Amino acid sequence: MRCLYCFQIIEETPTFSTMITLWEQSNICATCHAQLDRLTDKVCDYCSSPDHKLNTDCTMWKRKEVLAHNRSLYRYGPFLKTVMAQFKYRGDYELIHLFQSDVKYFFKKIYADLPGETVAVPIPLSQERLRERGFNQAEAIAQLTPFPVKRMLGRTTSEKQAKKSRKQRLQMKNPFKQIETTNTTSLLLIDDIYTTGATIHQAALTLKQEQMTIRSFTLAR
Amino acid sequence: MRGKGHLFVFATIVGFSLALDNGYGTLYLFVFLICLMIWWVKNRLTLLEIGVLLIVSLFFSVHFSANTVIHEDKSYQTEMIIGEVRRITNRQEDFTTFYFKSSCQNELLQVIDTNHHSPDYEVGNHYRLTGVYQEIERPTNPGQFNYRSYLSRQGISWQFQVNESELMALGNNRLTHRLLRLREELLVHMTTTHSEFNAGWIRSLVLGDRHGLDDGVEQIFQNWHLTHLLAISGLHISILIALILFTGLFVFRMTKTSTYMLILLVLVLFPFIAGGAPSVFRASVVSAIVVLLWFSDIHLKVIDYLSLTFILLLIISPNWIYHLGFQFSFLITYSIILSQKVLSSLPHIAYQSIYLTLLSTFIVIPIQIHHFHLFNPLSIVINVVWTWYFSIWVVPLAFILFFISFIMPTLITPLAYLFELTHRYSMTLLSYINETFYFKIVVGEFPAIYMIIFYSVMMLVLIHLEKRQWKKLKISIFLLMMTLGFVLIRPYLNPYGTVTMLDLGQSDALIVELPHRKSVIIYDLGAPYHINQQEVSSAEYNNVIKPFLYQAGIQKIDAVILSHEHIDHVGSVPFLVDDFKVKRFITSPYFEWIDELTSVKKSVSSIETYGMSDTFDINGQVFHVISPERDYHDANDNSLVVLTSINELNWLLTGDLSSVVEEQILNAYTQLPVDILSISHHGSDTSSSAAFLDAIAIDVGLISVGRYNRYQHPSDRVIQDLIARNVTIYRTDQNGAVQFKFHKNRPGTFMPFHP
Repeated sequence: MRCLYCFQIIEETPTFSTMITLWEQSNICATCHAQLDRLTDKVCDYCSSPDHKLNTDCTMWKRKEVLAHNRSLYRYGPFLKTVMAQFKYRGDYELIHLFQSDVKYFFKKIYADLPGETVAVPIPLSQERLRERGFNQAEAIAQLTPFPVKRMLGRTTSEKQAKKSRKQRLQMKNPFKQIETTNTTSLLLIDDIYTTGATIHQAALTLKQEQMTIRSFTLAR
Repeated sequence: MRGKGHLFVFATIVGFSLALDNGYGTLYLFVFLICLMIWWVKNRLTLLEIGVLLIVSLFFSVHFSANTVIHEDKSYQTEMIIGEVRRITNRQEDFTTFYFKSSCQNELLQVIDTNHHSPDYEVGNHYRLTGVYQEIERPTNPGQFNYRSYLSRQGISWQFQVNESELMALGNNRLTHRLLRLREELLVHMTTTHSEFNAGWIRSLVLGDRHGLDDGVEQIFQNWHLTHLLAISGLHISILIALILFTGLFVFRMTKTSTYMLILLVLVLFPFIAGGAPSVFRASVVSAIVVLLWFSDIHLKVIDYLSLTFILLLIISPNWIYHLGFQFSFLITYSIILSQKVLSSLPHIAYQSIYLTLLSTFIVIPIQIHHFHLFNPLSIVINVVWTWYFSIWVVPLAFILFFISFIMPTLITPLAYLFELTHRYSMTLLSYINETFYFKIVVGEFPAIYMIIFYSVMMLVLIHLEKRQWKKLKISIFLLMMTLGFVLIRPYLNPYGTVTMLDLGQSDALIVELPHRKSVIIYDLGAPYHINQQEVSSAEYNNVIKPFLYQAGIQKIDAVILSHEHIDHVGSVPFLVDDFKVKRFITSPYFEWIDELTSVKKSVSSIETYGMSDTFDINGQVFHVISPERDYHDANDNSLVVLTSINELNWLLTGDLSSVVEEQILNAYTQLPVDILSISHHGSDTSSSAAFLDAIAIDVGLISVGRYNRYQHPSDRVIQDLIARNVTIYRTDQNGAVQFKFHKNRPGTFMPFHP
């Protein structure tokens, strides 16, 4: 088996703990895996930011009380940036499997206290964007989680967010609309990257109801 | 399948146990199939991989069955056979034994030739042999080495005793034969170019021939579990490769490719020159595959190379799976490879070498105990030091000395002097350590269930160590020690006791082991007298008595009762006191301490003597002395006759007393309640008179007597008299050892070794 990203042969050396249980076929080699900067537990309780001094939006979002908290897996470092570019903009869908075992482990061991009735809701792309890319990266990530995926959100506008400044993003009108309902009380919003938090919070605001807990999970922070 | 090569080993073992048909096969297969299912469901293996593993299992279950031979009775047939000498197993002045492939019957035979005018047998040559088929000796005592099954695993089911032999044709010059002859020449060359001491060590470490070592060296190495240093294995091969690499690349400035080619060539030839033990083959084949694949694009993991070797070796020679060295070398190598993560987490090379020593000591403990029934705990320390000493000094120097005796003989003297000086000194040190600190724990058997428990717990220890879960590690180490402790105290928990009449030929030995190991008592311990060498033979002691006591886990003997001073009743006692602690010696007042027993007399502080009407007590076991009443001026008649009750049966042990004394006993005791009698004097006509047998009215008679003995014991008259009185007779010449096994609260049964 070769690494999906760098095509090196993946070295699996059995040890005492794996000789009987064996290991799942990995999709990422140790070198690439080491470059994925996994976030530790020394992050912000609310938004998972690893260096909070730079993030002032957090307190503002917290006050709005629409989102319980956000959890993220990796720091959005230079390596992940290139991987994400290849994945998202150059349409290398297979790369999603690079994160497979990490996401699985995250929900099994680290972030395991979610209620069983939780539903994963991916942040949608506009029709135009979806046609351009061929897939919704948030939905791909949602499929890695152990929860059922439900497309509850739709887009009203189709502006590219990555082209906007921070200020523009925060001042933006809510681009989401609810297109489906649910009776579960626990939602998990899924997106690829949490930068300012605007998208996630606007989506949460769209879906927010009484007695409903909305959390979010993004691959990168 | 990269990195999963060890699964092939599981598959192979399942295949082998299926072929063995001892009940474990189906169990292993069942467990294996469940594992395969889980691996498949959990996406760990593909269907193709599972298929390959199952084919391997199937292959070995068939491959191994094909190697067991069908038994057809042809003992004492005189025949002329033609064939080829395959391997010379022993060449002494007065006899030669070898494996012989007879070409007409296409069967492998063990041939023994004791004729003086026979030709010098050479491997590969063809001979015409006339002689007799003989059965291969069966073991007749518990714990005794099973030579028959040993040979049968090599595919040999008959022995052939040669009367006449004739060379038919010289061997075709097969490479293996030429290499074997080259080895013999090299052995001789070493003896002529080096001093005796050095030659012995070079022959052992480079050519795999231990005959040149000083007496006792092997025993000392075995005592300290160091035999792995003497057996040519991975250590020696890697040193050899390192030497060739160094000289090739840096001295002769060869290219990497040609150096690797040279190494490959050496690795192919070396196992044959080094005597062909499995460990040499294992190490050479692994290294050869590694070098070979260096030329290609394929790169496997170490564990896959090792597993490939494991399978290749067993395809070539399935019997190696029984070979102790084979089991040890693979078990240790696998455990080291699987330790990679543990080793990389250890900060210092010192910790690493301590870890490796502990690992390789503990991982083989069950097998070690299963084979030798004992363990030397202090060996762990000695092992670290000596392994280092051998790997950086002794083995490299032995190889260098070997090579320069061909290239630059002038250099030998200084190097050889250095080698001899250091190594003599360290060997002296080792034998001093051996004399002063040797301490063995006789464990006895290591039952299969304990083996499974031990290895499961060992696995837990290693997993917790690897995952650095210290708390769980402590618990699992504690469990491991508990398991070992349980094996150790097992005899003390055992509610069963035994009385064993060993088969020592025409010598007597009766060993009593009471339930919960309350006491171990020996009544007589004979040995045959070696007429040619004018001394007491230690063969029976080493082959029967010691293995029996060891497999029962006996280290201390509470009392040795000696009936009288004849060698066939006391001959093995001097050997016994060398290896075992004997607390008490008990005999009659008229016992004469013959010269052969001088060492025994010196070693014991006091000797208890008892006469008629005395009683003595060994940890609660009471013995009534029935005879001698007075000095009869005859060793046999002065035998210490004792009556004791075991399992609510009365046992009368008589030594060699004759009818004269029997009459005296009848006069003295109007009632003598006896159930079991050890028939006096090997069932001789001079004892066990009809009157005596009538008076004591026994149920069982035990006769210790040699097969085809020259005295024609037991006498027909005694046998007839016993049969007429409905006495059940057990005799060692027909039954082998006879063991009476009993539960402390229930009546016991007699279990002859050969019913």
